[in-house]
Amino acid sequence: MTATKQTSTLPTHRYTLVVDLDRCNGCGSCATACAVENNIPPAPERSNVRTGVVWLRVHDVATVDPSGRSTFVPIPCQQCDEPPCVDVCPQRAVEYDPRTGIVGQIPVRCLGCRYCMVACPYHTRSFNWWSPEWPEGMKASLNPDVSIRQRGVVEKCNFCVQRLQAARAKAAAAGQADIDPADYVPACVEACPSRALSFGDANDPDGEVARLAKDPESFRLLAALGTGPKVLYRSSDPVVRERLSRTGVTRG
Amino acid sequence: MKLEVSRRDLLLAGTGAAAGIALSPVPWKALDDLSIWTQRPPTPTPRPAGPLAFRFTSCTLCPAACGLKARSFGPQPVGFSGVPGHPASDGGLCPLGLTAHHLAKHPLRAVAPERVSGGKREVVDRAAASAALSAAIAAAAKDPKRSLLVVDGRPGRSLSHAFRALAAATNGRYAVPGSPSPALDVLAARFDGPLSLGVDLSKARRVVSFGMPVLTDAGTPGLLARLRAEGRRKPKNERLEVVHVGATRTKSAGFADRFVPIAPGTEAALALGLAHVLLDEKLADAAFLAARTTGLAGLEALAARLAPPLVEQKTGVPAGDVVALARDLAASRPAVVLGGDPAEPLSAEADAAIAALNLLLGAPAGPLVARRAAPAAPDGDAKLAAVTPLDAVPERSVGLLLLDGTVPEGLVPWARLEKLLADGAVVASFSAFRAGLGEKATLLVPGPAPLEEAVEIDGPADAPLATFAFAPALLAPPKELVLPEELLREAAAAAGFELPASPAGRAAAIVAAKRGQLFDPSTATTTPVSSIADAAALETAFAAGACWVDDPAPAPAGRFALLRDEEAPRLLESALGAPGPEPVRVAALPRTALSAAPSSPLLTKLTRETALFPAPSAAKA
Repeated sequence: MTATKQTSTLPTHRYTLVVDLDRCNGCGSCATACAVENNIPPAPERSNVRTGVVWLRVHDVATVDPSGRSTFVPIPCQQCDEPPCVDVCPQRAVEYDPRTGIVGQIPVRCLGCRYCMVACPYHTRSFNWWSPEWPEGMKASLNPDVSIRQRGVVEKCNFCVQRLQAARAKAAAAGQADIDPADYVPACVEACPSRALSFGDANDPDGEVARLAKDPESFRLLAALGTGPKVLYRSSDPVVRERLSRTGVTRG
Repeated sequence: MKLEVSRRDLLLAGTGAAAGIALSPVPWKALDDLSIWTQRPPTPTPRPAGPLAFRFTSCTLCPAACGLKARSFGPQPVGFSGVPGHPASDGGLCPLGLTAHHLAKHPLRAVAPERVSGGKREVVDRAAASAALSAAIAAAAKDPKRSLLVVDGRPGRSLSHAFRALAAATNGRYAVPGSPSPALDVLAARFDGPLSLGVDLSKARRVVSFGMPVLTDAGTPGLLARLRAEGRRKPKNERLEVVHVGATRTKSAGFADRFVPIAPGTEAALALGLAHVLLDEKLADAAFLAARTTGLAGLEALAARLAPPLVEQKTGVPAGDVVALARDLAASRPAVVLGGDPAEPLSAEADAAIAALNLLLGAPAGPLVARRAAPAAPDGDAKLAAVTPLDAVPERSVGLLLLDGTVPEGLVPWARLEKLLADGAVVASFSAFRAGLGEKATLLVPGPAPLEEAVEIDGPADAPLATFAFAPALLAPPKELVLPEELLREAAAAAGFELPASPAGRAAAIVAAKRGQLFDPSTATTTPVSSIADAAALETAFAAGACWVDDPAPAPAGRFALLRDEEAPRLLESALGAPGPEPVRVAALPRTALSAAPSSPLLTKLTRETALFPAPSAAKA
């Protein structure tokens, strides 16, 4: 682990996302809300599942269920407690924030070596192969709280950290030491019409997320790797739980 | 010893040094350090002028009319979220709604009128567009073999009133896209009196869908997925489960608890086969049948012909599965059967068979609820055209096709309209985009893009409660834009038809009816309409994004006809004449959006780069 991680104290917060696979119907609202919030640009027509910049993908995983049922699995950056991408970055462009548990990506430091993409077992990082371009006039509709990343850098989900900063600013203005949890909700969670996504501080013992994290139906992708993701999944189907926790989902 | 360095030695040493350096990290690190200077650093996103504010409206891209909370800087929205507690959407928002603010700047956006002349599309000025439309209206009024046909995607608006008045004045026709759930309309038509039905999914324990994508596109898929997931953790006999019956394994079918593949076009046979088992094993809701229906003998006689072995032969569903599904339906009441995809409706016979099945299950006493339409302003004395079904318009009889900008090609395919056109017909569209049906227009008079004008919008016709919003505009339309209603009135007047003024006062009608509640999106609270002082107060609330929702309607007294005498032979012929089992093509098909607007370029990208519309082979576990 990096020096940053080793010298950190235990996080004050441990922001965690819980995805209820029983509720997700693959509508794509989470992926769309994420792209709008984080100013992900439309790409050239030659972009594809391997070369496109997408922070949150919804995968349709055909299960072995004899009824032929699908399971949709939204996969953002898993926000690992032991993130492999932090160790391999030569530029310190990936940082683990010990106060929140959020693994942040700093595009201004990134030199585009893509070691982090190789190291990530969840395939949740994207490389900018093209300069960002929007149709004429559409740039006015971008979120001013998020910078535009340029060609040649890697990017990924950061749990909409700009919303956390806004919540902190609001709390500071009100003279409060900590944020109101209702003020910090990532865009994907806010958009989900099925309420399949829950977000909160797993260190809050009374919180919904802490309760769901202990639920026997909750699991982590590729649990055996020991990366300690802070994105948890729930399913009432033991086949889904077993397969996803063992093999994860292959991109592309 | 004399040390001599030959040229060869120098070359070898140089080559070795070069290879050694190339294998070391030095040149690559140097290249990295250099290449970083060739890249532009991240740039701050421009902040639109104006203060940050949250504004509320309703999405007008499809009839669901979901609540929108817009984060705006001055007049420019930069992001949307749903409105928790909203009567139409309860906080949910689909990908189309989330990107609605991109559409005004869509690359396919048209601002100036365009005309196709000699196979080429050219921009014309407002006067030329008005003159062309006026000439086409005059010609259509004169020649009954080349008459006017208006297709209105969202009836009930001020523009719709002008359309109907023009159609009446020129002896033309006025059509609207089909119902979102024809099987429910067929069932409502079997009632003694006028009745409109909605679906309350929270009252159902079993939902059977004949081809309707209830879990992904039709109705309220987010709510159904939520209810079903909550049920999964309940005992089995209390769970809500979804069974999808269809010839194609759509995304909704794959997500259902059970998928029953059938041969294409055999829905009526399967529905009657299920009715056969319910009646034969006395599993139907006897109390409901006795108290609320007529014509049981006729249905029994018809269903008796569709024994499970014959149904297996026609549909490809094993006889044992037909019996098991019927028993499961009976044991899982309240149950409801829904039919038809709005984009791919079922046959009239299948709709009739599904209606009968719902009655056998007693669905009108459970998940199917009576609903009322939202109060409407009176039409006054104006002569208005009635709604004509598109199927009733003779082929090659239309000289002027007027397409409202809200008609989605997914519901009214161009192929269906094209065969109605006479030679050299004018196709005028008010679409804001050179896409969908707007692309087919020979005269495109672009209207405002979504969010650029205030729009009266009624909620979906199959929701359990009627909703209405006067969705305020969030964006200013381009200055050169011509409003469709203005241009239509001008062109009609030039052709000699003065259109009556559209009725104003939908708010007054709602206040006068003293029905329903007004939802305030900024506080997520509701106020009874009866406590609102006057129409002006209601209009002010609508301008701030409020939404009206009706009170539950009392269940009407009366009986449903299980089967009409004249229907039996047609139904039997349809069921018995159905094609035999064919290999069912199992494929996930991308669905056409039910919106008339094209997708945002961002959504196009996400569709291309993710598994939003996946092929089965694209995902691996």
